Amino acid sequence: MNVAALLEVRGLTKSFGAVEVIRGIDVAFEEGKRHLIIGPNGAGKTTFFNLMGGQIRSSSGRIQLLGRDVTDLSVSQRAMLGLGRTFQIASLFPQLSVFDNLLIAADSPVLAQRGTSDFTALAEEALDLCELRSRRYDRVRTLSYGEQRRLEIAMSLVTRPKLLLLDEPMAGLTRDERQALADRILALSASTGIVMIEHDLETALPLAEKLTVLHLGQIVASGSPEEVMQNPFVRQIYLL
Amino acid sequence: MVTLYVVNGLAYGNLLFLMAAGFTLIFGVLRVINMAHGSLYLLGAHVAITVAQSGFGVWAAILAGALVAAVVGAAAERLLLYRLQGDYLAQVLVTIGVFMIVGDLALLIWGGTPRILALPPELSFSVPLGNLRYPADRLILLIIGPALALALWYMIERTRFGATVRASVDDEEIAQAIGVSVPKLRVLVFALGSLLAGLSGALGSTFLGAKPGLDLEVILLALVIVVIGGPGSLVGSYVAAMLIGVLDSVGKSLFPEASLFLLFAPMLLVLILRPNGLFGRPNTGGTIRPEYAPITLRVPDAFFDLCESLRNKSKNVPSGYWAALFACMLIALPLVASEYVLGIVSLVLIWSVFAIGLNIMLGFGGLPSLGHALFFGAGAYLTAWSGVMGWPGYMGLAMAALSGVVAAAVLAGVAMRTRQAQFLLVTLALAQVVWGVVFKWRSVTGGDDGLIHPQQFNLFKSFGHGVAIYANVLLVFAVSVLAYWIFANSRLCRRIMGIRDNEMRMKTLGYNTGATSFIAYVASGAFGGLAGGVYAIYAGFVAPDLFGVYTSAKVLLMVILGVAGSFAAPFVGAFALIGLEEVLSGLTARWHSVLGCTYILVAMFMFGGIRFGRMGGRIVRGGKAR
Ligand SMILES: Nc1ncnc2c1ncn2[C@@H]1O[C@H](COP(=O)(O)OP(=O)(O)OP(=O)(O)O)[C@@H](O)[C@H]1O
Ligand SMILES: [Mg+2]
Repeated sequence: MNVAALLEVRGLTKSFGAVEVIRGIDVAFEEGKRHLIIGPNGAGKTTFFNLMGGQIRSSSGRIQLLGRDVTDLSVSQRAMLGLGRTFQIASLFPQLSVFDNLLIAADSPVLAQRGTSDFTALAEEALDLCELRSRRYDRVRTLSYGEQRRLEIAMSLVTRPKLLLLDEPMAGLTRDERQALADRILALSASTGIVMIEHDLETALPLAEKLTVLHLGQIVASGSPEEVMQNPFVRQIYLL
Repeated sequence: MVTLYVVNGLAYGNLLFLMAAGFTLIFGVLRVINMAHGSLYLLGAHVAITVAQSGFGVWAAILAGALVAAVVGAAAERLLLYRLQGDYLAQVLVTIGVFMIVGDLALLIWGGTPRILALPPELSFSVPLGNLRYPADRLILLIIGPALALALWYMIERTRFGATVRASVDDEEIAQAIGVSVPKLRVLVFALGSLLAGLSGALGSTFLGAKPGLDLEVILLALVIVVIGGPGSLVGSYVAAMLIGVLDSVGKSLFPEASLFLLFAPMLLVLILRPNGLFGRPNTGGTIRPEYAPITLRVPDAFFDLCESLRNKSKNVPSGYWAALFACMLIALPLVASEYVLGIVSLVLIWSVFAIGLNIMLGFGGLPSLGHALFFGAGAYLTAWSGVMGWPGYMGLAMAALSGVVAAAVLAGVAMRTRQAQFLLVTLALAQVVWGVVFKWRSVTGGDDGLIHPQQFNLFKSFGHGVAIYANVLLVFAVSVLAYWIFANSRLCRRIMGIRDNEMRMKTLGYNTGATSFIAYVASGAFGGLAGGVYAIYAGFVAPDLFGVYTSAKVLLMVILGVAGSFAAPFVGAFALIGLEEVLSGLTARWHSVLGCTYILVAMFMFGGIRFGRMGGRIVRGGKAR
């Protein structure tokens, strides 16, 4: 490994009861590149993200984040190192107002440790970013699906993560919204490492500098998008 | 001699097992903490005694007791609890309501003097045991107990019915997937659990009898056994029942001074070492949303829309104008009101402070503590003792708040690792056991007579007794509300609410959620302890009931009634409930029953067991607390 790795995984496995969902993954995501993970439904993509974030614990294997072994660190400890993520199903604070949701994110100890103190201003900024100013005082559970998705992404950006895991951020958005999001991700990648799971190849593939295909809990191909899309096995899975 | 104690303990243990088996079954399968279990025990005992007295024979009496309990239990499930599936807190409130009603009606029908089932001569003999003689009715327990335990074990572990029950203990989702009719299973399990309660009541009626208050003792014992054995585990219950039975019997005779800790110590030990009990497993929790079967009331659209808009407004702290208006009214009150009214308003203010504490934990923190009386009681007794030692009143109150904090830290220590129904169980059990200790530890706490103490407030003395008390209570109230207001507007409070809504997201944002939750407990404890301390001075005496489940239930109902999590919840709830109690107790002697109905109705309405529907037809849950 000559390039510094954002994220590196060795011999990672995860079983739920008798079912092995992640079956021995070795992979490194290098810094300065936009990474896309694809794979059929149930391939284990979200589970892989949950293992990275610490939301679930691996059965075996080691995980390195931003140059540190984080296998035994808790979710919040990993966040403190600079890991951020969005969830496939929006994971917000449904009883609180939109602005309170953003305030909680802006008030996070991740920012406090870096000495950022004006969290209200950060939250205001994020409110504009997700274009929810008109719904500022509304409870999040009254938001539409699309609005919740926007808030979800805005929240994960507030903490300025060094590495951002995006789990199907395009799902359920309109064509225009997807394009806008793609532009945002592109701009963001200048300062933030991005690993994205996405089914919508049309929008996501042009973003990707490196493509990894997950199938039945194993990596079946990894490399430049052109290369990988030529892989006969990948073409077979995707019926190309 | 020791043999006798051990045999005694084993017989008692078998009765305890029967007492607790139904409770643990219902909790294990349905996650319902059935507070009415004690009532069903009492009902079984009373019915058995009445039937026996009418000359039907002992066996018929026992059968009748068991059956009546089964029917009442099944009816409560079918009519009420079924409509609140999955809302553990609402279900407990309903069963507390049933508990109050049954207790009150039992008092009405059978009176307050202890009754006992007199055995016919052919059964009231004793059996030689070494060089002693042992009464047959208890010896029968040594046969019936293990036999029933085996039968139950066989039914749960070896039959088809048992397999479905076990499947739903492990995973409700799987149970539904393999086509189990959950509603039917629920009624059956409830009937069986209640049958066991009635049966144990009937069997125990020959020596424990039936009397008011026995229902609470039964609940206490069942809680301890379930916590030790592990929810849903029959084997665990049996082991725990034998342990408690023998410990109690041997302990009482050999170390009478320590006997009260013999329940407490093993339970606390288990809670610390294995929060899910000796034989219990952590409930991974069916993620499935239960099917609701609410009663729907059609209301005019305008009313419906009003409820909806209230429901969807985010937490609003009232403006300064309202606060100023209320402050003026409260300050001016002594000019116009009689001492009697001042007394009642003082009570409302005291309970408001207590409810502030619970609103922080339940409303903001989403932690449905059923052991809140622990803080109140601790504060009250500490203040009483401070008076006995001759300390000034406000020092006593500081001690009270501090004791609430300590109690909260202990509660957090044992309860923080548990979730949902298990959390309710653990908080309830802890408070109940402390209640039991205070109740019996006569030399220190005055036992059930309580403790009269000389503690008093030193300020405002020149205004005369009634006004002085009111003025002091108002002062403490004002300070508390100020602290509450600052807290509710703080970043800390927002974090606590964030954990309530979505703990995993908080962690993902880098928050240390454990530490933040702990603060919610401690803040809650400080208010609770302070309220208890003020109450002790207000009342001039303290009693074990301050630690009791009624105290916890009352403050819970207040907060829920005021819509938990809203800023005004403690004030609205305390005013409404204390007012209701005052009015009811003046109107009818059966006010406990009416209050029980209130519990049931509030729980049904606030948690969606009864919903409003538009005249037009769309259905929505009535304002959900939490
Ligand atoms: N907590 C869990 N317990 C048991 N099985 C699980 C759990 N979480 C995921 N699985 C299983 O693991 C497999 C992979 O799930 P995962 O959510 O990671 O897939 P995915 O690749 O993200 O799919 P999708 O594209 O649909 O989001 C699935 O078969 C799923 O059923
Ligand atoms: Mg997924």
